[in-house]
Amino acid sequence: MPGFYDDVLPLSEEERAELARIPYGEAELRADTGVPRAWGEPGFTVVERIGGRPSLDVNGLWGGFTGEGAKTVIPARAYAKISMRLVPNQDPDQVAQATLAYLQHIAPPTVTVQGRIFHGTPPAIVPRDHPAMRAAADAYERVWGRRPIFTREGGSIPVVALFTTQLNMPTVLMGFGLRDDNLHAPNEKFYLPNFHRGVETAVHFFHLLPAALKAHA
Amino acid sequence: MAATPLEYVRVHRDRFLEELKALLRIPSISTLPEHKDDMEQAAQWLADHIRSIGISDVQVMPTAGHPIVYAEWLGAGPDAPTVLIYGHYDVQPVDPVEEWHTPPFEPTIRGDTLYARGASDDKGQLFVHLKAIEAYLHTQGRLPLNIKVLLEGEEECGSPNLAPFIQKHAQRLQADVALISDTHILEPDQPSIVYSLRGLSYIELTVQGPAHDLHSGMYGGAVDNPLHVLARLIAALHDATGRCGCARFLRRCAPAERRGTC
Repeated sequence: MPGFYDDVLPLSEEERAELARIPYGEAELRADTGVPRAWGEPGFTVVERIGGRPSLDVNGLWGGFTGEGAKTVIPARAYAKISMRLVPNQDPDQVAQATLAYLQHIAPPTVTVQGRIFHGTPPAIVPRDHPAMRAAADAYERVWGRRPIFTREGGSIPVVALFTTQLNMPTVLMGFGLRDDNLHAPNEKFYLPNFHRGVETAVHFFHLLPAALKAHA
Repeated sequence: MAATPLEYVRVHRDRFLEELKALLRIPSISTLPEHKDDMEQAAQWLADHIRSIGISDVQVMPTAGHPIVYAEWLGAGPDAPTVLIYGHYDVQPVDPVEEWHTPPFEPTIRGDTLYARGASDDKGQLFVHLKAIEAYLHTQGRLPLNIKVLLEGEEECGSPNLAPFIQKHAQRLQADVALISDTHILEPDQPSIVYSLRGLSYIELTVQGPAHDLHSGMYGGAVDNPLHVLARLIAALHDATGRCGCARFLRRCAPAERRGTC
């Protein structure tokens, strides 16, 4: 039976050096979240834990009596919802089944454990030296005057997985927003200098991409 | 008269912003049924706008949910590469609306910043590409590569109709590279490119003990309690350092040792 970390693509030394350029660490994490200290897999930085390593979180636990006052009950059932964030090359279905099998295996014979597996999203990675990535990096550099840093996102964008699996096509994520844009929250915003820089970056990208792909072919 | 695409985008900055504001005024909230007409209106607005920038081959394609706007310009010819641009024109709901400093669907510029629902997620970011396309078509009459544009209206409700759409139109959507602007950069003056995304697995667990709830006076101490068991199971998922406990277990333990070590 495959384990949780079995298919995890290790971070190369070069990749770790690039990720170390990201100005985010324990202090920023504390300020962002209000936790008294960071936590996570030993031997990895905060950025690596979020973007380059898998994680498992209990999203909710329930069961029994939680109302006002006292009710002396032994509940028949207890429930949990568990999410796992996966990195290349983990398979969502395989990880879900392995985790469920593990939980059923370690459960005592005094109970039964049933699991329901939801539809998952596979992780995605585009090599940083892919010609389209190089064209994108050059396009940013021409407009910003600085080389972009390659980052890993801890979240998922399901359409990227669809493009990979169904259309066999790499995706260039050419973002222009900022971390504090208040997405999904009140006062969503867009920093306008980067809207205009974005248009110029796209102009450069359309110009640079054909030659980059041709040189690669 | 702007001669190059770059000159063009610099000359027309203010107009670009006014157009974006018009798109942002349409309250295209995909998750709320009362905004269904607004979804149609946003899709139609985009289709009309894409025509106005010089792409005639554009359609509002129905799905089981909100429509997909699809456009293509293949004038660069079969030897030139093709890029598939993806964006989404639906936005999140606006609650709690009283916390907005200006109304979410009245785009407002304060200082260097544009405030509106959808400003960056994703109307503002998808608009970037439409303006770059316009810059080429209006200055040179052509683009250096073929362009396909797919704008979805259901990203904020989990894209239930996107996979079937892609499956059905896989041939038509073929491209060398997909291009998406729906992420953020590290700092205003430090660009970044996301090259990897994490995936997701999700399970729901039910621990069943007795067939029905029991009186703790009549049975307490004689039957196991599913809540206690669940707590132990959850505790076994990580070791004390933060490493995923099941991982080490699954990889290193021989089957016979499993119960003892974990």
